[in-house]
Amino acid sequence: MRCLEAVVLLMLDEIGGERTPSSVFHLLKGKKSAQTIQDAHLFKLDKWFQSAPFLQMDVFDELIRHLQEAGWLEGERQRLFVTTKGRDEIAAAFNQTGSFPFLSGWKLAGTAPLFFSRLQLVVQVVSHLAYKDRTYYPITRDEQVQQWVKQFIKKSASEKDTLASQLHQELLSVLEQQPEHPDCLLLRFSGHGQTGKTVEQTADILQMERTEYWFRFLHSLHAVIQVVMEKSEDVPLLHRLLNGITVSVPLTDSARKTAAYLHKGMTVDQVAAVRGLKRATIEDHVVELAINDPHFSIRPFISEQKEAAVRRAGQSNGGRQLKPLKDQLPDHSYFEIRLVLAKESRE
Amino acid sequence: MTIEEHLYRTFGFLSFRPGQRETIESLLSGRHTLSMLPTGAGKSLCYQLPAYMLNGSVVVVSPLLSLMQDQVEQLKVRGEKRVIALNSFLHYEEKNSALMHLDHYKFIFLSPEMLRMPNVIQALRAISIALFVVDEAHCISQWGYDFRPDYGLLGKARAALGNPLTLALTATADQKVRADIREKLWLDDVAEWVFSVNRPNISIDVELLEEPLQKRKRLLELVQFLKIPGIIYFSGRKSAEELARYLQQHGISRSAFYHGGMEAGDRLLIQHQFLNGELDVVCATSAFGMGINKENVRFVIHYHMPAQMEAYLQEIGRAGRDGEPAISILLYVPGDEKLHEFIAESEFPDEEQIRQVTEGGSSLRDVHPPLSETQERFLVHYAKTADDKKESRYTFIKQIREALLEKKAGKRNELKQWIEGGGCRRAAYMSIFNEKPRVQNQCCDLCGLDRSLFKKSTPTKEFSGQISWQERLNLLLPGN
Repeated sequence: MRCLEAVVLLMLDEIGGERTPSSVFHLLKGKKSAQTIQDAHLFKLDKWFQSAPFLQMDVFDELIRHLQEAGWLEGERQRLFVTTKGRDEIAAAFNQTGSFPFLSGWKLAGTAPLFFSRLQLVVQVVSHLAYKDRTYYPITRDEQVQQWVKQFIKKSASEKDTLASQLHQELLSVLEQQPEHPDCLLLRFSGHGQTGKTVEQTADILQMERTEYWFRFLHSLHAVIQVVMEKSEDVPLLHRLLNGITVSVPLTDSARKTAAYLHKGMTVDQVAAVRGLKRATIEDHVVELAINDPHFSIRPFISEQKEAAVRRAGQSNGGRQLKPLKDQLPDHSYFEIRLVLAKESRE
Repeated sequence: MTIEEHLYRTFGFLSFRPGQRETIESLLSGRHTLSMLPTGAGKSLCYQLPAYMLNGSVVVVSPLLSLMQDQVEQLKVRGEKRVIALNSFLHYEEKNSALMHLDHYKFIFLSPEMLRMPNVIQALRAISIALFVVDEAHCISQWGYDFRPDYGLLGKARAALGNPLTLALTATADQKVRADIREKLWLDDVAEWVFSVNRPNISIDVELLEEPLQKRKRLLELVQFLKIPGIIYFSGRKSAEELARYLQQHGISRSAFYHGGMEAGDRLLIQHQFLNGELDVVCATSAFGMGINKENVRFVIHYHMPAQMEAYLQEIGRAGRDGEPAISILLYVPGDEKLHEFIAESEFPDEEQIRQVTEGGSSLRDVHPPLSETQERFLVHYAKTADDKKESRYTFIKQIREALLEKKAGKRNELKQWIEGGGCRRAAYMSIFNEKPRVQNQCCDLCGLDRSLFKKSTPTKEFSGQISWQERLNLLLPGN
């Protein structure tokens, strides 16, 4: 059985027929809807949130059909239950791969891709610096990541000679503290004389089924990020890679209440209604959370693109003032701009 | 500095390739220039070098985003920082800031639809344009290979920019298409340089097989036999993936697939692996190769026949850019052309879809079955043309569709006849472009070809995956 199938079965088993299979699809894709966010917490499936962003609806449907045909699922298409045989399959599959204890989709789905993208480019740049090789094509074409890494390297100018060995030491340390084979991550890096492998190629080299590799990779990456967050003083370079992605600390009681509701998957308007407060007050709480909570993702409230737009606008006029930013960004609400500023304030 | 000095100092080359000098000198004498250079001849140098000899910016219109990115990256790797690409992927603020500082850039790459935007035209008018380059200029002609309706804007845009010195570049344009390029770009007085489509160092081979099942076996034999690296072209994504896997399972471990359906990051990695010599073979669709400057490709195999001669020549042109012998092999089974008939049909909306949007009054989104992006562009473009001509949209679009399908069928047939052979293959394709035949050694399978010349001398390498992860990390980032 493919690893992805085992994951889907496990999730369907947790849901126990209380939701349609498409709720599992939305969870794996990381849909930012109140329903999906609520489901993630209600069924304790938050670790799987956005853990298979590559999934397509038709592929998912096909997978469900296959699970039914194999006799691992029973019931109607909209209300499926895992059979005893299915549970044996889940157990067997996770016996082989482990249960991915460090996977933390809800908390890290926003952080991990950007962290990895920066890390890939930093490793590539530092590797080429170490070998005094100046001609190479960057591993990512994302301009923002390129700019960010450029600044990172500039700020590290004083340690340029030791950068490679320092990064080496830090990577060695975190790779030893995570549960998967280090090649799950290492093969994906480009550097002098070697080009990173694609997901597919890495799976082939490690002789793993493709989705198994994918989940192991994600597991490894999430574990690494948690090590970097917890032991930031041991890995200062890697910790800097998290700058601006994650945020940390104390809240007002009222904001804490709002946080609890949001955590259940309610929207700003729903929280306002339940608490009998104005929408603007709840927005204030959200901003407060963004300022204070290291694990608070602003993503459900603003898209990556819109966030990036605010950041660029802020850079170009050097401002933290709302009005000029708002004038520059007619499509953004004040709330969205404040959220990004709040997040930036933690960086 | 003379142009030779620029060639050496800026680009590190000692001599020009055929056509480059003529094109550059023509531009430097101040004449609009249309240049047809074969694929792999180094077209981009024709505008990059004059850029350093003329005052002002060079504006390059390019049809494909990936091609544009490749060109931008190549300039940057060479150390040129004054490069910008304006396309629909740019965020609103990024674009505004770029437009405000447009005079900072020596090279400005644009997708054609950018020229629809008044603020882009306005910003371009405010700077001094040394040269206006239309890359892949055959895209402007509906008779050309790979027609792009948005290219139709370029004449008007040129006029709005005050008729700047213009270079139209193409690898593939017969007389009809070249006339169309001049007309659509509103160019009156043009120096036209047409260089031979022939690439003498590429030997041409066609193998006729009886049935499709023989192909994969034959492909494996060829890949085991031939000097690497090489590219294998397929008509579909699925077959590219399947055959890459098949080759891997049969000992060709350094092979991979590449197609437009892959994630951008993965596509980039495969491209880099191929450039860095880490892959022997890439199984690809036509999406692969356009912006890739790899000099030492030793073979190109067509697992399926291409849609037409122009596509075939573009694709085999990726072999032997270093001037060393290379071979192109096309595997053909009778009936292969059916696939392209199907692909051609699916490029255009069918009659029922046309009826729905025109007489049925449906909006583009409500058409059933849903329209592809290409189909939508086609409908929008020709609906406008029909209005301009005051003709019925339905009848006009239907006629255009039929005419284009007929043209494609004609092109397909031309290639099919060429495959079926008779006489010299090189002479035959040259005659399509009104060129006289040339006699040469190792010409083609019909003139006689010594295939052992292309045999590999060293055995194929395996993936060197057998090192510990600590060693891998140490190679990547040498510690202490």
